Amino acid sequence: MAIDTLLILILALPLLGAFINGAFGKSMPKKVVGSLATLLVFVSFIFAVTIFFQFHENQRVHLFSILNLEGFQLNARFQIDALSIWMTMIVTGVGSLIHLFSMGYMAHDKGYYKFFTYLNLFIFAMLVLILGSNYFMLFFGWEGVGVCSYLLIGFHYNDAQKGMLNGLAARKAFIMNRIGDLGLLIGLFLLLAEFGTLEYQEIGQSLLTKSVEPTTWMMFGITLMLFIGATGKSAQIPLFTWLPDAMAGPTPVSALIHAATMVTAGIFLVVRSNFLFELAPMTQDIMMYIGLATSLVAAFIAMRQNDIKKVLAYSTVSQLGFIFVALGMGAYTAAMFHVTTHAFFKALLFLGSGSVIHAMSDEQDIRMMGGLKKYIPITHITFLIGTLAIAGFPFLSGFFSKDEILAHAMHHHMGIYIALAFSALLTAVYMFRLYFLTFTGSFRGTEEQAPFA
Amino acid sequence: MELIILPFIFALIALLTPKALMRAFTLVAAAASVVLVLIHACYYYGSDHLVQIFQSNSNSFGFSLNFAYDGISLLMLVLVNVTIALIALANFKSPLAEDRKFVSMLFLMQFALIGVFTAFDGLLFYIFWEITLIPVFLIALWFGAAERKKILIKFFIFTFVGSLAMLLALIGIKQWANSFSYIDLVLANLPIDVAFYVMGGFFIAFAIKIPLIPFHTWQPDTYTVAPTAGTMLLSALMLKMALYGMIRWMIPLAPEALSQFQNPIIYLGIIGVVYTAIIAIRLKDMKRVFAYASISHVGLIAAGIIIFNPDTLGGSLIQMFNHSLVAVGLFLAVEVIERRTQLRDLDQLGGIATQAPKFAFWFAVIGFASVSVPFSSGFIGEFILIKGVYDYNWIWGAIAGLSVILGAVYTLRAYQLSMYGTPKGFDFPDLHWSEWLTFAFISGLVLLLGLYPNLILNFINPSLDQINSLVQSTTLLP
Repeated sequence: MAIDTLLILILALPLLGAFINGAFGKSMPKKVVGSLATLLVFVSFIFAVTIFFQFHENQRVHLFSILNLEGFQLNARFQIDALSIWMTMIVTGVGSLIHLFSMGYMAHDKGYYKFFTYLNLFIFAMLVLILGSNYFMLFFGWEGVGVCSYLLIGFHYNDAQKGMLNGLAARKAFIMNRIGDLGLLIGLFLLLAEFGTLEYQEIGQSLLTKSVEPTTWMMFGITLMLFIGATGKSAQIPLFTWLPDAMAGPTPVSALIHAATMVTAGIFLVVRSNFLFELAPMTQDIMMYIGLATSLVAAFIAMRQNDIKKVLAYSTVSQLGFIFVALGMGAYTAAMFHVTTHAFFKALLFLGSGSVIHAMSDEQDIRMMGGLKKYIPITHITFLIGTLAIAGFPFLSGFFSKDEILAHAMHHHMGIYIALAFSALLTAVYMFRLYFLTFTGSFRGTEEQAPFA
Repeated sequence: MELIILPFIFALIALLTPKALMRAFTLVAAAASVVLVLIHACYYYGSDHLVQIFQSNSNSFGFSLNFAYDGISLLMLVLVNVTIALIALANFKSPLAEDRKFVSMLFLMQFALIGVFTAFDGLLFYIFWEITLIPVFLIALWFGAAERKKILIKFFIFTFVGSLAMLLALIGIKQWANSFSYIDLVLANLPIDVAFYVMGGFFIAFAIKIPLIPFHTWQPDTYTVAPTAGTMLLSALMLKMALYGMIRWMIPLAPEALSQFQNPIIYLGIIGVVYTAIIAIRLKDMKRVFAYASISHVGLIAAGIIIFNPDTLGGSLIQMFNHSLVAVGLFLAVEVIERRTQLRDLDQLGGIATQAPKFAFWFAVIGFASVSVPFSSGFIGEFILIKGVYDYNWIWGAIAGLSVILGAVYTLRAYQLSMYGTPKGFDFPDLHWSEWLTFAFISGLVLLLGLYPNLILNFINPSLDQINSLVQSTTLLP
C-alpha cells in the first residue's frame, strides 16, 4: 500500500475501535471488546513499522482544510518524517502491549468497554498530535489527549470511598494542563503573527531562507510560550503536581499515559520545534535549569514516598526533567533516545506495580509489602529488570540513553554534569528502596492481604 | 414570505389544537420550519446577493415593510429554526409541552425572531425586537418559579430602557436619512458627535440584551426563575438578536464612532469573560452556574464583533451558533436533573452517573463542548476569537485566554459534583428518547461544525465582506 494510505489507516483504526466499542461495546462479550481494541492498535503498529522501512523522504498528506480565513489557514494535514514515525512506533507499540495487559487487568471491571473506548480514543488523539504537520494539529491532539487523560484518571468516579477523590485528581490534571495549554495557545498566536502559517515545514523554510527574520525577543517569546505548554503536559516545575495525583487512575493508564506516551508530548513539541529553540538560547537555558531542578526535586520526593505508584510517578517526573536538560543543551537525539527507553522500562515498571497491587488486593503501601518475590516470581524478575534499566545498569537500555545525556552534559558544563549525575544516583537509590521494600525481606501486611502464589 | 408567516400561523393553530395532539403538532411544526429554512439555505449557498422576501412602498413617515435576507441573516434563520426545534424536542416530556399557551408563545417567539433577523427597515427591526419580549416575558410569568414577579419586573425595566435608547438612536439617525430603510440609514452621513450618540443608543440596548457587564444584573436572576424552556429561549436565541444587531445595525449605521467604542466594548467584554467565570466557580445552583457561563462566553463574542475584521466576524458567528447549541444542551442537562429530583443544588446532588449512564455520557459530551475542546465548534470559535483579541491587543488577548482555564474549572466542577460519587438516595430514571435525541442532535452539530467550520464560513463570507467594505469606506480604520 502507498504510504499515505497507510498513514490514514494508522490514524483511522484506533478511532474506529473507539467508535465500535463505544457504540456497541456494552452488548458485546468482554473478550471481543478487548481483543478488537488491542488488535486495531497492533495493526496500526504494524503499519507504522511498514512505513518506517519504506519511507525515504519526508512526505505530507493533506486531508481537508479545516478553516479558511483571510488571516490564516488551518489544515488537517499530516506529515511523515523520521521523528513522527519513530514516535508513532513508540505510541502504537507500547500502546498495544498495554492494551493487551489491560485485557486481564480490567477483566472484572464493570466499565470494561468504556475503558477500551477511552484507550483507543487516547491513541488516536496522541497520533494526531504526533503525525500532524502543523502546530494546529498538534494542538488538536494535545487537547484531545488531555480529555482522554481526564476521563481515564477519573475512571473509577463511582468508587464508594475514593470516587470523589478520583474525580478531583482528574479535574486537577485537566486544569493544570489547561494552564500550560494557554501558554501554547499564545505561542501559536505569536507564530501566526510572525510567520502567517503554522506548518512546520513553511516556518522552517522561511527561517532558513531568511524571508522572515524575527527578533531575538520574538523568538524568546515564542519558544518560552511553547515551553510553558510543554511544562504542563510533561509535568515540569511548576506544573508537575498533577502527575502524582493522576495515579488515581487504573494502573495501565498510568503506564500508558502518565509514563510512556502523553507526558512525552512536551518533549516531542520541543524536539519538533528545535529550529525555533536553537534561535533562542535564553529559553534553552531556562529549559535546562528547570529540567535540572525538576529532576532533583522529584527524585528527593520519590525517596520518601510510600505508595508504590507515587514513587514511580515521581520517578517519571524526575526522568522527564532529565530529558529536558538534554533538550536545553540541544541534544535532541539523546533526548529522543531516552524518551524511547524510558517509555519501555517505565511501562514495564508500572505494569509490574499493577500486578503487585492486584496480588496485594489493592494495597499500594510498600510498608505493608515485603518478601513478595516468593509469591509473584515472574513479576519480581521483570520488575528487577525494569529497576536495573532505570537505574542505568550497564547493558540495559537505560544505561546507554542516560550515558549519552550525561556525556553531553560533561561537554556542556561541569556543574550541570555533576548535578545530573547526582540525580541519576538518586534514581538508583529510590528505585532500589522500592524494589527491596516490595520484594525482599519478610511479609508485613495483614493476613488477608497475603497473596497466593 | 412563508418563512415569516408560517410560525405565526403555527402560533395560532397551537391555540386551537387539542391537548392530546399538542406534542406531536409541536414537533411536526418545528421540523417543518427547519426543513423550510434548509431549503432556502441550499438555494442560497455560496451566493452573495440580498434576497428580497417582501417589500412595500414607504409611507410618508419613511417606514416600509421591508423583509430580506443575506448570508448572515439566513444563518441566523437557520439557527432560530434549528434551536426552536431543539427546544421543542427538549421539552417534549415536560408538562409544558401540552400547554397551548406555551406552545403558542414558542412559535410566536420564532415568528418575532425571524422578523428581527430579516427586517431591513429600522423601525421594523425595532418593532420585532419589542415583540420578542412578549413571549419570553409571558412564558416566564405563567410558568416560572414562585419568586418570579419581582425579578421579572427588573428584567422588563432593564430591557425596556435598552429598547428606549435604541428607539431614540433610530429617531436620531432618521434626521440625516430619507427613510428608515436599511440602505438609507447606512448611507446617511453622520457628523461624528451624532454618530457617537446613535451608536451609544444601540450599544445600551444591545449591552443589556447580551448582557455585558455591568448591564448584566437582570440576567442570572431571570434565567434562574424562568422555566428552563424560557431560559433556553433567552440564552440561545434572544441574546443572539443583540449580537446580530451589533453586526447588522449598530456598526454599519454609525461606523464613524466605531473607533471610540472599540476599546470600551472590548474591555467590558473581556472583563465580563473573566469576572463571570470566577463567579461561576463558586456557585451552588447549577442553573446559575450555566447562566454565568453564558455571560462569560458571549463577552468574548461581543469583543470579536467590535474588533470588526472579517476573521473575527466569522469567528463570532461560528461561536454564536455554537453557543446556542451548547446553551440548549447545558440547560437541558439541568432540566433533566430537575425533572427527576426537583433539585439544582450541587451540594445535594451526586452519583447520578451510576444511575443514569446514558445521561452521564451526553452531559459529558456537552460539557466538553462547552469547555471547547478540539472537534467541537466552540474550539474553532474560541481559537479565532481569542486570536482576534490577541492581535488587537496582546494583553487583553492573554486575559481572554484565561477563559480556557476558568471554563474548564466551573464546567467540570458542576459536572463532577452532580454526577460523580455515590448515589444520594433519589430515584433517577435514565434519559427519555426525546431527551436522548436532543443531546444527540446537538452533539452531532457541534462535531460537524468543529471539524468543518467552513460550512458556516462559506455561507457568510460574501455578506461579511459586503458589510465590511461598507464600514471600511466610511471610517479610517486600517
